[in-house]
Amino acid sequence: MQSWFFDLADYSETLLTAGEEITLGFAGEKTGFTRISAGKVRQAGSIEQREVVLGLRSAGREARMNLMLSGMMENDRSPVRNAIDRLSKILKTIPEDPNLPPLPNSASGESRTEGRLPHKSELIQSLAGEIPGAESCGIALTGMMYRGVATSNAVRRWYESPMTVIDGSMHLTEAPGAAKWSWAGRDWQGGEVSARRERAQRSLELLSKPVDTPPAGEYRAWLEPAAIRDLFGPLLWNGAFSARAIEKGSSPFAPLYSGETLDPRVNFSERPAAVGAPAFGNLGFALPDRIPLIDGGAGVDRLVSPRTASEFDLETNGVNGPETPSALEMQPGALDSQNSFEAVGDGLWLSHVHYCNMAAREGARVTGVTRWIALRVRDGKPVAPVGTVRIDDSVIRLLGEGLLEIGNQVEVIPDNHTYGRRHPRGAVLPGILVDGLRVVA
Amino acid sequence: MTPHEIQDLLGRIAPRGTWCSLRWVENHSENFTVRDDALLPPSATEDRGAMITVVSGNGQGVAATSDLSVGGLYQAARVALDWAQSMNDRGVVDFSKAPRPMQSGTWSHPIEKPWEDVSHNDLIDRLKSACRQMSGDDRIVQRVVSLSRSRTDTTLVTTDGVTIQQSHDRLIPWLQALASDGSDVQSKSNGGRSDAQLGGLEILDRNGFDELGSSIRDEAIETLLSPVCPSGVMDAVIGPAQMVLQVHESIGHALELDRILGDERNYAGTSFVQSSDLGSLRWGPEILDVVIDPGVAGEVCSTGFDDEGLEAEKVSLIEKGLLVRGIGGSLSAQRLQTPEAAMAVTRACSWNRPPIDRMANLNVEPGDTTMGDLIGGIEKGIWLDVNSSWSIDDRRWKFQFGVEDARLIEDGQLTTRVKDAGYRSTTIPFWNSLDAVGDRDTWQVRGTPNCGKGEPNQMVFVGHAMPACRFRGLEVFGREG
Repeated sequence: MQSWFFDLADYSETLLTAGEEITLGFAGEKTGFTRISAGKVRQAGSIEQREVVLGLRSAGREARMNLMLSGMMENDRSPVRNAIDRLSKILKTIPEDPNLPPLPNSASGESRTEGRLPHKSELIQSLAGEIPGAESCGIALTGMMYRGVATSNAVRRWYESPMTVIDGSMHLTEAPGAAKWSWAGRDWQGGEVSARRERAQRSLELLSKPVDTPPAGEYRAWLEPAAIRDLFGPLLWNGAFSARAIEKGSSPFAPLYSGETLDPRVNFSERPAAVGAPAFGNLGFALPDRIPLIDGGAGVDRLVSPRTASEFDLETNGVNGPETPSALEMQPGALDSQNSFEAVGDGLWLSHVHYCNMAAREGARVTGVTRWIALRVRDGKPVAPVGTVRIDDSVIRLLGEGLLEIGNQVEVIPDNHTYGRRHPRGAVLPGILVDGLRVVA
Repeated sequence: MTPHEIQDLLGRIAPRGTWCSLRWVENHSENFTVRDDALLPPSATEDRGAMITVVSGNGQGVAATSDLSVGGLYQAARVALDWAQSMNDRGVVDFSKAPRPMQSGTWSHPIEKPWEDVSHNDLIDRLKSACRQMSGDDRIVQRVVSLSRSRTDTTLVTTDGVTIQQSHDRLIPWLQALASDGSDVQSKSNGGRSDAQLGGLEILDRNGFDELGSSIRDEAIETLLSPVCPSGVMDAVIGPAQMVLQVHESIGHALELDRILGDERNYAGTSFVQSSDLGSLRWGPEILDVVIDPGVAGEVCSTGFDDEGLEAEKVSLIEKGLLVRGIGGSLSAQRLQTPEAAMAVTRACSWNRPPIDRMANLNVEPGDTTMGDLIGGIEKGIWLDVNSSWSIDDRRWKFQFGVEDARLIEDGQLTTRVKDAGYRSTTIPFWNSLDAVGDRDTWQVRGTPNCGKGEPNQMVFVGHAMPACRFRGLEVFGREG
């Protein structure tokens, strides 16, 4: 795959005319998947795709073309040639781009990770089969992911990694409860997968108890790492750490960059190596090892794409255009995460917050609903599932005055979304203990 | 490739002794975006690929590839065969008995002003003009105008000799202004991403695109200066753009058969609706009629067939308030032992994902109440339109939605604009609080490109044609909820 992509880049450069520059970004994958419903296979198959984004530049202008290619040079020369020809014509019809960022200087590098991928039968077996009193569902995906960047000024970067994700759940047949479990890794570990599945199965006993729904009010609560990820979701795609959104004032975290602070124990950074994400952006800039975003509760650096840097006269840290983290890392705290129930005492314990959305930028207010393992805790012990309740609270408050403790263990949470393609990104987060989590009926 | 050539190709690559289909998809799209008067790099997409489905024994496997050479497709067919054999005896059904396409056909739709007939310069000038219209006030901190075109050509062939060819050409206009006073930020748009339609550039003329910018700017400023929405239980008229989201989330997803069957419960969720509710559950009052209608001109999911080859026709889901059918294709209907209830809604987002049950054009039929009477029938209440935030549980029962456009209704008149308005309810009580359905003058053909579901994940277009509707006793709230 790598040699084909770099050969394609070399070929593309031969098609340029005077004054033209080109960038090629690559996202490819070879994926096997099986989708399980009630312990049986609903869908199973493979996906092989190779997407190249050509960016042609000339006289301060740029136009882009996304091409789905075959991976065979003899078949791909023609669409690439046609695309460059078409882009060249478009460049002649559009105005100069006042914010077109410069390309990075020549650079090269490659990152290759090796690891065993499971066989088809192992993939199916991870989720299929019967469970007493419950049904197993989920998706298992495995295969190689590839990313690359090449530019006409001698940037050649490559990333490839195997990745297997088992994203499963178990649904009680005689009660509404369901437990979520997952495993992700570059090197298949069937024993660990089985152990996680069994752990989820054991949690079903508690979930089968009668629901104890808390009335509307404010609760002391433990939020698992996945729940933090869920609450952050809509904030990130609304530009929480985006330099452009912060400059414009539209980021829900903009106040953190103009004096407002979170609890001083809160530290967030973007650190690609934490989740094994590529160490370069779409244009080929090297990403810093770590970009401190929130330090000691205060906004520090922001995610600055090359275009935003050009528009606002900032220094880029090479991240991609949407300026969303690919590897958000939160520093752990002092609370023993194993003692989260005791730490709650009386309150709630939430593994996830489902279908979150930003209800208001002010305070970074997010609404969502409980899902998966949501428990009522009394006297330091989980006693019953809470069922479905709505959460509506300010994330700035939860990480500020509402923050009681941060767990001492972090969890690597891969990004399991597969819209269009698989993504080598994720988050590393601890759980947190908060006071006054707002539950609405 | 012509359909005949694709059919011929399938004959060459199909593994012996199997049933196969080949779905060949080509998507050509373009996007122009102007942000704060500057054109961002124009982008285009040329996406081609194919998915082969192989049924062997009682198993079924799929393989999707962007290598469309004979060798690439031959290899994909062997990979799909291997998956089918791996599935044997472990599938949710005996796939050798699954429904198959029966009828060949072609389908396309009229386009009055083809995208290709207009120069890039003209399109860019139009976008820039709309963007300029949103300027003129320092409190407008960001202005974005974009126009996307997506043309998808799909050919489905089977080893039974069925050939289906369809083309869909869609347009997605988007305008948004952000207004800020330094602390508060308010957004206004042309319908909260619900303005996608099927057709050519005539859509812009029909929707008054060239005049939208200044009204969006004015409404953004007006909203910024508005008081926060009061909280309380009140009567509400929900406008067509918010009805899109309301019906999508609390009727559409709740009725999808794959959710009811449990296939989707690991990701998007399940449904409070049981298969036994189909034909018996009172969803709302007798004035509520909900349909899947593939024949509405300009609606994004108008079509001739679904991606498994079932011919499309208009069907009722909720008839005079009674739930009569769920949303599901041939396989889901067969699994529920109601094969006659199948409808053409098994769709895939592209060549690289297998088809699943999806809403298509999910519409509320217009009623007979004028807009004046909808609002005139409220003494103290609120107008809610254009979605800004959405949250609903995985059974599609409890929900909480926010809107961009809210105005108080006092003594039968629209009065003060308010901001940060939201409302919450539960599905069946909410629909039973429906009190009046707007007439055809309030009915708008709308659509969204952003309906996500499925594993691996799929994002598809969904059409929604909606009237304004009036609801009694809705729990409405402002910023502090």
